[in-house]
Amino acid sequence: MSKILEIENLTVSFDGFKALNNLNFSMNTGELRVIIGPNGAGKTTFLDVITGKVQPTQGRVLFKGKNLKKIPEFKIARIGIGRKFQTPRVYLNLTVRENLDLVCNQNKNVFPTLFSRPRNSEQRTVAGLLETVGLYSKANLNANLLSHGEKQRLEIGMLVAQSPDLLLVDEPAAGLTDEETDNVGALLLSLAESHSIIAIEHDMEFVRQIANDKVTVLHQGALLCEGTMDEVQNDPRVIEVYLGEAPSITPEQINILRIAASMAWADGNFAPEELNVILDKLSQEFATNTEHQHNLKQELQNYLGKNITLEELVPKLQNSTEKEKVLQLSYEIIQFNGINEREVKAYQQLLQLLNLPTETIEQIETEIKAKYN
Amino acid sequence: MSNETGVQIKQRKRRNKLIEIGVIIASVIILAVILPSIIPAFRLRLIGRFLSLAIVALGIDLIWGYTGLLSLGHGIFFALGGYALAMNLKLQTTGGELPDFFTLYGVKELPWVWQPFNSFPFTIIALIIIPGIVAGLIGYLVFRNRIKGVYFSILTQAALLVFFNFFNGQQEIINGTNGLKTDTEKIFDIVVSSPGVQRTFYIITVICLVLIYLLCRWLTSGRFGRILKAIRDDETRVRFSGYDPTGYKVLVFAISGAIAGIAGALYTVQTGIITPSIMKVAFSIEMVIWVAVGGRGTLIGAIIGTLLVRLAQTFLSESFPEIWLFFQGALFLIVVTVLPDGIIGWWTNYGWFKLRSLFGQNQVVTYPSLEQDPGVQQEKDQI
Amino acid sequence: MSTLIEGLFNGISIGSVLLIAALGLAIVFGLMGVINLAHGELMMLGAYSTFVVQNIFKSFGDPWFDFYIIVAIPVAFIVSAVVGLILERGAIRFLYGRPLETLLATWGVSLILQQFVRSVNWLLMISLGIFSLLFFGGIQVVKKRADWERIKSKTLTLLIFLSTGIAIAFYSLLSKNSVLTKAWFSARNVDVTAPKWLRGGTTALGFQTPYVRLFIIALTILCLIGVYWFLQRSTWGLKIRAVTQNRTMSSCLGIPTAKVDALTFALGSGLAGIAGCAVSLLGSVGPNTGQNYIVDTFMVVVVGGVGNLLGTVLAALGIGILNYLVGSGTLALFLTSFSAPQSLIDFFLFFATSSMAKVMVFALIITFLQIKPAGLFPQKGRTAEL
Repeated sequence: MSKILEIENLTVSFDGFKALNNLNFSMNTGELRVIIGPNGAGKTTFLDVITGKVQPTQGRVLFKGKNLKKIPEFKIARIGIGRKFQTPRVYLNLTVRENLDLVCNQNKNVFPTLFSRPRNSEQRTVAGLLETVGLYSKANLNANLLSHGEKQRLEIGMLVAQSPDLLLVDEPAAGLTDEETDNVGALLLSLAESHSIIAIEHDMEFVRQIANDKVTVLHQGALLCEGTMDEVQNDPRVIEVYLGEAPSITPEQINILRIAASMAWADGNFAPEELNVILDKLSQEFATNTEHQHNLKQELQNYLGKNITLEELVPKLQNSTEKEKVLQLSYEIIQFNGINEREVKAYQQLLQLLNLPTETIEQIETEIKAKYN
Repeated sequence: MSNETGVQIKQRKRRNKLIEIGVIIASVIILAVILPSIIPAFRLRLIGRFLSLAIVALGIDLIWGYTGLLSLGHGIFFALGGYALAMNLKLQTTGGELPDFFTLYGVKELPWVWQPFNSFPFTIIALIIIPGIVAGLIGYLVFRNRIKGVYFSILTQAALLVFFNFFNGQQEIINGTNGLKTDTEKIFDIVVSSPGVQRTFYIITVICLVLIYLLCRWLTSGRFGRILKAIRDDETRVRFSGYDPTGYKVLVFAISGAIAGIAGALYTVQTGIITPSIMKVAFSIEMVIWVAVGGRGTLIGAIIGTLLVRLAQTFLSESFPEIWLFFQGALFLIVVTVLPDGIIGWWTNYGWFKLRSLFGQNQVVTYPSLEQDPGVQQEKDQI
Repeated sequence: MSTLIEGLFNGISIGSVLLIAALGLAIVFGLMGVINLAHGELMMLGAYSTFVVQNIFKSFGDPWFDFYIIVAIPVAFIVSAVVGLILERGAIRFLYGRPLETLLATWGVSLILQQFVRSVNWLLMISLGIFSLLFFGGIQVVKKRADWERIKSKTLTLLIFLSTGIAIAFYSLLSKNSVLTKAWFSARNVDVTAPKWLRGGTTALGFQTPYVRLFIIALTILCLIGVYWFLQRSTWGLKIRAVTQNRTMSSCLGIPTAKVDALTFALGSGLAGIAGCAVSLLGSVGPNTGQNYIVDTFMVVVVGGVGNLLGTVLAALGIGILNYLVGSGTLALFLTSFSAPQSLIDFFLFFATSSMAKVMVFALIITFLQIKPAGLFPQKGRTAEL
């Protein structure tokens, strides 16, 4: 696979403050990469460097193998990098259609723009985009009359109109309602089919929605870790960066916790009693002493994760002891306040995935049933 | 309003275009045919001067109203145009010989800058091209480095002062403070101040005004005009859309400078003299206020604003010379604080509705999204 | 060599005048982003205040007259600061975030101030007093009504027209009275005589250095130290800097941003007053005095960069020295003594008048801006440009 973007040893410093510090990064053509990181991690500066707004102090940025050093922003935009800003920036005094038409223009030099008329193909593109971003009925309205979410969509539309190879999207879900966030997410996913996309985001729900490929975590201007959403979420360094302290349990233990949590979620309702069972059980299990157990109960709540599928989690279990532990816990949870249909389904799925010998399963089930009766 | 279909919009646009053409033709007839026959020659000359100032106002509107660049140095281009024509007229009178003021400074030979102005066609081209090039050059040097906003304004003002100093100090080249007189010179062997020539200049001014209005109209509609507005509203975004704002700004500033050059030439011959004082800081800022009074971002506003302010100035400074500066100062303050969109803006946003409601045609204005909502439409119909 | 040192001294002394004039401008522009085209007129007001103080002391007789300048400086500061305050509260505060509009509004104010100095007389002052009394008194009265917010705009319009009308009527009624209508200053220039101890000069440095020039340099340094201390060490200075960095946040933390704005603007205007006082010592002052400084001082701010006092100092001195060395022909003379090529000498001789020197300095400034577009000390970082 060819690399669309490679960044080597990139450092950007403002008067000695290193906004980016020796960053290495690369992504494949056609990938949708999500970049997360706490405030001040250098995410926006990262985009600034790629788009030419800020020049690197050291290192280089290669786009399709071409070094972007000293190329002005507008040329970078023309060779195929489009950027969406954090707050929607559309031209407020132009209509929606004019906004799109402006970006759609094939030849952006001064005189061709002055003397040529919009081509039919461009007009068709604009009409198509209006449909895509769902603003057809508002095509002739001035953009300053649009709502925040509509502006966000219009700006994404403008980005696409530029027909770039690489889309840089800075916090597309900021300030949107849940429904609008879903819309934008779906829009991004459909765009990902034909473009390479880098999305910067804070909202973890949203990240989970769109992160099909890798997720990159930036911290203090450097690359902290990279991997699938799950790997990243389990990575103790990431947890430390986000929560301020390193987890006192191992990633394997977190995994067990999350499977139990998904089981509890299976019926679409995470009862507080269920949570209590999980936390009690696991904190007893993982803790080294009573004081630790108490603290751990608090800490574990942060690692629960939501809506992670069992298919993702279960294969990560290392050995049969862990599997048995998971089964024990899960069975106990669904037993806890009566079994319903969905829970049974989830449980069947779990059994299938665990692939334990039948006698072990029966043994565990009997043990727990005995305990509760 | 907003819920009309594409066809309706096209119809409305065509209707507006027809109205506009009608208004233009009517005003040309009034200005060029009726006015000259009913008002005395010296008044006509005054109106001719106002109209040439309206031309420079169009140029200012182009860069300030549409592109968001406030130039305080348009006096430079105005003067360059005026000087170019005045130099040619001097040479036409002497038949290419050394004009007499040179002898005052002991200059024996015609300076090389004067040589090409022997040719009338060259002069006509030069009075457009030279200000355009100077504007383009200044613009390029400033915009290239992304100097914008007030910095640009200050630098144009400084440039104006520099040109003023230069023209003032160079007596051996262009007669310094005394300037060049055109009234006593000859154009095609007729004295410039003679009524026939003055009337011709007046008609030319009207024609130029219309042509330049149409030029600005063409520039500001369509994609080019939209990019100008986009640059005004968010230049950084324009850059990330793949446009290079520098080129657009340089071009539009050069065009604006060229327009000022034409206006300057027409103004000079209808005033009778050009001196460096035309490059006084105050005059160039005044040009801006004409546009502001009329309404920036509307071409017709620039013209109306110029005419109104100049008429008020003529009236006030004739009868109460002391009050004029107070009035002008107040005008700056009022336009900026109370009437930011000028007269035309006020009329389209507010006055028009007010007038209609006076005649009982009340129209409730709501959010456009409400206007579009089919449910709301239905309710409206039922009412 | 000594001519060069003399040239440098003269350049520094021109630069210090520029600096003291630009200081207030740099503060207002750097901290508030306001382009104040009326700055020159505030200087002019300072100069006229000095003139008035001088006349009052003249009537006290000799031993007192020598010290009028010590009173004149604070008076000039206060007069300009008060006018600046009125300007800020009356117009500029409505225009924050719209620098181009502010520029136009302050130009309007500068026109009004110029004409005001020309035509001010007792009658005008009394009419102004009547106007303010009626207008602001009227507002105070009507404000007590419960439906004030609803009738606000209509009342204001009515009050403005009413009080203006009454004031004008009063003015025209009494305009025949020659005592009341005698202009205070008239359009002619006025002269400020320097006190005895500032006349003459010293030759300690090997050439003639007038005391007045030395006084201005000292005054500039004092102002600079004062401003530095105020901004860096005082509580209000801290607040001003906080508002400059992040207005919204400061406001949320309870800093009265409106007061800070007014204070900053008044400070900048007051400094213009002191500058005017200094300028009045150098030559006669008239209503147009301010205009002569405005472009030069703005160039200082542009070259110096926004919000950095050191940049302003360096830029002012640099421009001052360059202006003098080129304009006085010192540079050409200096090159002759080094037997430089004739063409180079001719080139500098061409610019060896004070007005032509400005042409060259401007060309150099434009060249300088090609290398450093944001001035000597630009602000860096992500927030610097959006």
